[in-house]
Amino acid sequence: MAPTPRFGSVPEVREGLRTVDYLADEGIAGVVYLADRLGKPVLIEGPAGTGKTELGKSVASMTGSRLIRLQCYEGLDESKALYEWNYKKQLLRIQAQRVAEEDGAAANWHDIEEDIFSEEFLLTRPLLEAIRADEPVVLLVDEVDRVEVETEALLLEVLSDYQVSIPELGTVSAHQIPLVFLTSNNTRELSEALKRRCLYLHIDYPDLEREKEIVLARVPGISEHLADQIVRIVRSLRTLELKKHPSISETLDWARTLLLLGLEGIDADQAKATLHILLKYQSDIAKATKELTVAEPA
Amino acid sequence: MIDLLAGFIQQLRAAGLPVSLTENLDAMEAVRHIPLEDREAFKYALAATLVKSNAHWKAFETVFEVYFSLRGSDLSHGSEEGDGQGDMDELLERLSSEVAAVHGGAMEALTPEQLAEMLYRALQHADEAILRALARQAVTRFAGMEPGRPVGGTYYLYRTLRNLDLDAVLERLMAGARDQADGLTPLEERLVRDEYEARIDGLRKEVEAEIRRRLVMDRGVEAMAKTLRKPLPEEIEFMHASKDELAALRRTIYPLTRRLAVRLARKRRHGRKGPLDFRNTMRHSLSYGGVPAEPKFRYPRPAKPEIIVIADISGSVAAFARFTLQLVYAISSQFSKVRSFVFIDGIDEVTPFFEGIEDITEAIHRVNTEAGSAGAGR
Repeated sequence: MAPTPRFGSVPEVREGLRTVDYLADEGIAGVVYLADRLGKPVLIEGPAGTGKTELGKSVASMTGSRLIRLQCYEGLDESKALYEWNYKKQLLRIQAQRVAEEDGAAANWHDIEEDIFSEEFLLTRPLLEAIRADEPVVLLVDEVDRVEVETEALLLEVLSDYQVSIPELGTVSAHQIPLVFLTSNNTRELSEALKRRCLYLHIDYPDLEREKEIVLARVPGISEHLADQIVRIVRSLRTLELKKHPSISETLDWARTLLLLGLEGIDADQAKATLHILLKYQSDIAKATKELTVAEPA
Repeated sequence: MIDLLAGFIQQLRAAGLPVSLTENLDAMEAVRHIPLEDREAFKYALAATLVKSNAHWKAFETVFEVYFSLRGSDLSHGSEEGDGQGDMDELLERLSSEVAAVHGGAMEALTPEQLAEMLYRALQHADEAILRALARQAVTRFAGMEPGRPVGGTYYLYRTLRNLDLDAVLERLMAGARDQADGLTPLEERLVRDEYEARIDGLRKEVEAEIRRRLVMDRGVEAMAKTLRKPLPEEIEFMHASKDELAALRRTIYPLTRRLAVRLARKRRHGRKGPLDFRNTMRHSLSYGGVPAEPKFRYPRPAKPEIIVIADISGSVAAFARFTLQLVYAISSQFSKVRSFVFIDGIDEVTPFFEGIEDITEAIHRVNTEAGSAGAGR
């Protein structure tokens, strides 16, 4: 149960993530390190666009593992997440048998049954694929809060024992323990059973310095002065009560836009003109425009 | 070590956090992999294994700070007392040189005006070390803490902050910034203000931590953990909620309405399948050699009801009416038509206020200001 650990220490994780342009803080690196050591999945929560999915991807590229991704949605079921019998192929197999019988071959029901429930007719879906992989993999279960409570139970066996039970075939256990990341936008409370099996990590908007570093790392060629102004305006916007606060990814988009426009600094007019990149609701934009241009009563 | 962790988990449970046995075991396992001298790593290891909801993070942090504040030395990690002392000496030296530069005098001997001046400078240059020392000094001076006095930390916090008068400091900082730049554009002004507010907020937290530290020294860890407990968000009472708490509630409710809408829509789509479409099934069976492998169904066509909302928006129940309206409009796709009326003593239709507006709070605001007079039965 104790495979060779992937990481030696917390700072090593942090440095590794930095090389793939993901700037982790102490907490994030610590949890990734623990996930590896304890062989437990990580449940990542936080506002949209703060780099939850990106963390999974970055860890994959940092460790050189294959990334297997399961995008969750309402109505996701066993046959899309775990495995499915290729029943069209099974039907064809039975039909072929019937043709063979007409030619005089003996029909043995037991053989056929053995045959059509073999690996040949099994379609692997992401979870089973991650379990069966021989090479190191990172399994990313994205937006797990979108599936219904009942479907969540599908994940439990995989997450706690790293195995999948297929009634007709038996139990498939993992050859190696994959690193598992589950992300959630917190649109609903996840079940206790799921939470108990995971390490919990909450990623919030980064503080000013870290966000500036992120902008500098992710947007090549941006000047320090511009990056500083950008993150300060974004922080200012986050203090307003908006429907949707600007996320890190939107900050990055904005920074790229301003860079493309060839701006060295931002004044109120330019900020207003490009605000739609940061904010995605008309009411939010109206509010922000008002707040940014009208000075507060001093 | 086991005893220590067990005690900590006891405190967490007392604070209302649900910590299960598995999580307890995980935490023990986790701290084995973490260098114990790293206090931050230790904290995050515990948090990752014990806290499973962001709403509980604050409570966890408080309990952690209190519980591990004085035991630092016997855990050999972050022996805060020792380090703190070293830092302090160095700091005091820097401080006294700073003070000497300003007025010439030791920290204790400063007049309140000089203290305020130092605070102003420290905030202006974001000098964290000096701010921390100033927070300590401020607590010593203004909080008026007496050992054994049965008052909560908030009282001391209030006293200290009132004496520091941070609002005035903020105004002064703003004025200073304006002078320096010869007038600021509104945008710049806002950014500068945000920056200073963040710094002042940092100072406030520092003061709070300092007060907590002293209270722990005075009363002991267990007693403090009890008094510092803050109610978890799920335990807030609707009628007595403060403004901040209401904002937190609204944030919780918003995804709830969306969730309901999604769920209902899904029920409509999948809950009741239409009758079997025989023609379509047969047509598809051709591709499997005549075997109807893939049954096809007709799409269901559910009837959508019309709904009329009548909301009482008089003062006592306004908060509830608001919630109901928000809910109804969130699931309005489930109804063929929504009409809403509000009344206090006369009734008035407010449907048009909700048309073409995506921000429901703004619509409600308009109802209150524009339709309010009509609703009052004139």
